[in-house]
Amino acid sequence: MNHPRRWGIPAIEVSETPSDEALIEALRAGDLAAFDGLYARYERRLFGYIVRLVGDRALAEDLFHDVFLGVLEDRSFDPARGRFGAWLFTVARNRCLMERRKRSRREARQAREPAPSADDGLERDLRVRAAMAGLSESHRQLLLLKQVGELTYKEIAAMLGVAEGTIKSRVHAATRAFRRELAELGE
Amino acid sequence: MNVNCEACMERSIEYAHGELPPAEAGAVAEHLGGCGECAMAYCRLAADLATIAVAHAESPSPQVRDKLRAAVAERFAPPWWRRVAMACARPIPVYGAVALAAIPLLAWIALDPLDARVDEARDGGGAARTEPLVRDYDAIRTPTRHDGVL
Repeated sequence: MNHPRRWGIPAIEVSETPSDEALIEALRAGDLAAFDGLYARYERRLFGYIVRLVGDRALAEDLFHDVFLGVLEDRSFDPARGRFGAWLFTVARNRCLMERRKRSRREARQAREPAPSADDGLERDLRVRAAMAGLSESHRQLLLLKQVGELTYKEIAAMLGVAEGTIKSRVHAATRAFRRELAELGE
Repeated sequence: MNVNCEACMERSIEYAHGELPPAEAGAVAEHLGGCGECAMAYCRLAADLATIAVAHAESPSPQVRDKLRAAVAERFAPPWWRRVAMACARPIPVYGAVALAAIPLLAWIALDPLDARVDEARDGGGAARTEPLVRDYDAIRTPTRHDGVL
């Protein structure tokens, strides 16, 4: 990363949107405004993803806090090895799976139907969530990673430890299944 | 590269996900631009996919943000010497520079020795200059050179 530096302090380009990696570097140099930028960028997507995985808002808030802080504190992140967003969602997914394993099978079943939140209300959103709930676990995970996490096929493949081509065909199948469910729900 | 309707629909999911190589993406875009049926089908697909992100994005409570920000501030707060360096490195706005430059100018005007010289000239040195150049002039009196005539 090439950033203009003055007295060893990375400066954020004002004219263009700074990359996640530039924001991380600025935050590590003590610039709290960089945290605000990162938070605004990932707040809704990451929290929404965690809520869908654990199905409990209070638990999701704790996990969100831990994941976000842990990722920011972890200095092992290397931009050369991948995007910050992919790393953040990978860590979040692993934490959520760990948390789910700790819970009973009954609670895990409840996770598939998250409790209604303040954001609920739009009929279309409810239909979309219902359609997603009708998918298999793997299809739902893939679509969440792709659409909410905005990860690439390559990043999802690296996360799940499978070939990129496999992810491609699974995402195709998941997309078709999702659209079928949505159509059945009267979309 | 040209694609027909069938090939376009086969690639539409990857295209919507932004995963097609540039050449193929360009061919699909070109086809969508010229085929209303495929364009309509693609719009429906893209809208369905977009709803996933919209329906699943959700904000945590404001307390979560405050707590997280406080924890980040505690861990990432720079030491005092770095804060001083950051303050020095911060660019000064133009109006700030102008205001800064105006301070010595205003001070010079306030304490200007020129004012002191003018006052001095008014009190002493300037007195000679203000004395009348003509004395005993009577504007109503007949000029003396016409005295003999009149």
